[in-house]
Amino acid sequence: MKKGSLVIIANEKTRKTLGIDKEARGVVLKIRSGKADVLFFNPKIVGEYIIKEVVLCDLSLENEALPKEIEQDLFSDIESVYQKAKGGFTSLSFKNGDRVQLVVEEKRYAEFGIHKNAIGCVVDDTVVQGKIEVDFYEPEEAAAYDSAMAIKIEDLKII
Amino acid sequence: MGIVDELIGVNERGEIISKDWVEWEHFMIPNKPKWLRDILRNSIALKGHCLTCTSVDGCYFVRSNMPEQALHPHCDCKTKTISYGIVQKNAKATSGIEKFRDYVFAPKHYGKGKVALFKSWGYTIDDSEALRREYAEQALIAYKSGQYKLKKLDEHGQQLAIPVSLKGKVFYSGWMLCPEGEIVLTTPFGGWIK
Repeated sequence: MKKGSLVIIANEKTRKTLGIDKEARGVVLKIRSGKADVLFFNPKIVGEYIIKEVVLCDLSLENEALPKEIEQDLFSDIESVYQKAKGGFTSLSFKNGDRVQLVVEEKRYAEFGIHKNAIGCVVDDTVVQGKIEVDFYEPEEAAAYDSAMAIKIEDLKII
Repeated sequence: MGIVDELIGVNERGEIISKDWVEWEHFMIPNKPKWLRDILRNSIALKGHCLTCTSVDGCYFVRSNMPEQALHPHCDCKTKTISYGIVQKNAKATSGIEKFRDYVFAPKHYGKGKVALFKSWGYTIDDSEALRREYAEQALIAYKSGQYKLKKLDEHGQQLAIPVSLKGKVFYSGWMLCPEGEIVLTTPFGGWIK
């Protein structure tokens, strides 16, 4: 195991204490004194990550590895990576199937016929750049938009 | 097999289809396993690489019906030609029952707005599994025949509108295109075909 290795937490108690999903893999950033700093990405919020210190014996090495170019890129400014890490994963208030209402009137939605108070269903609750995918079905003008739309989570409320 | 046979074929419905397909490629992003793909997408996004581009890496398109290259200045994406045999072998449609049970027929949504159509056609929550299968079957044939409409492409991925027929009515359903020919149902009713 070394810097850049891809690992999984093999110790279930440790994994649950850290709030990491069973299948989540992380990237080893540093190793020192029998412990490793491991970066875990939030599976539900793209781009959000945490860095946790894990005892080496609680980690299992994956066969796959980071490509050299990605490893070099990631470690070229490791201090910045540490600075932008969250303390813990953000918990989401929206989930697939939620009935939601648009609470703003914004041009970026209005140009597609989706106005304030439109109602829809969350069809993809993975947050990408602060947005989730909503299929609007009320009123008729909003329903006429024939795709799910990426909506900022702060522009929605659950009803 | 002649050149024409390599480019044109006939699908299960006897319709003429194009066999000229490509796979979208962004360097360093594998098609699978999903966990590795997600780690690498996230890692290069930290360094400014485009999430929209990496979202379509590994996706299969008919050459005549794919996003315009380049997606943005200095775009790293390429396409490579793949055989129709690869498309036929790998393509699959994932239609989750929750799209019917927890959306169309869920009490909070049932009978409202555009999803009221399902109620008007006489469908109930008991039809969820049958609808799930019907959507998957129809959409897969349509996708492999190149019968899809490109919709929004963003950091979530490439959305497709794929025609589905129920009770003699034909309309679009919404799907997300994933690597290696997988399409995943996002919305059962995406609008009437105009």
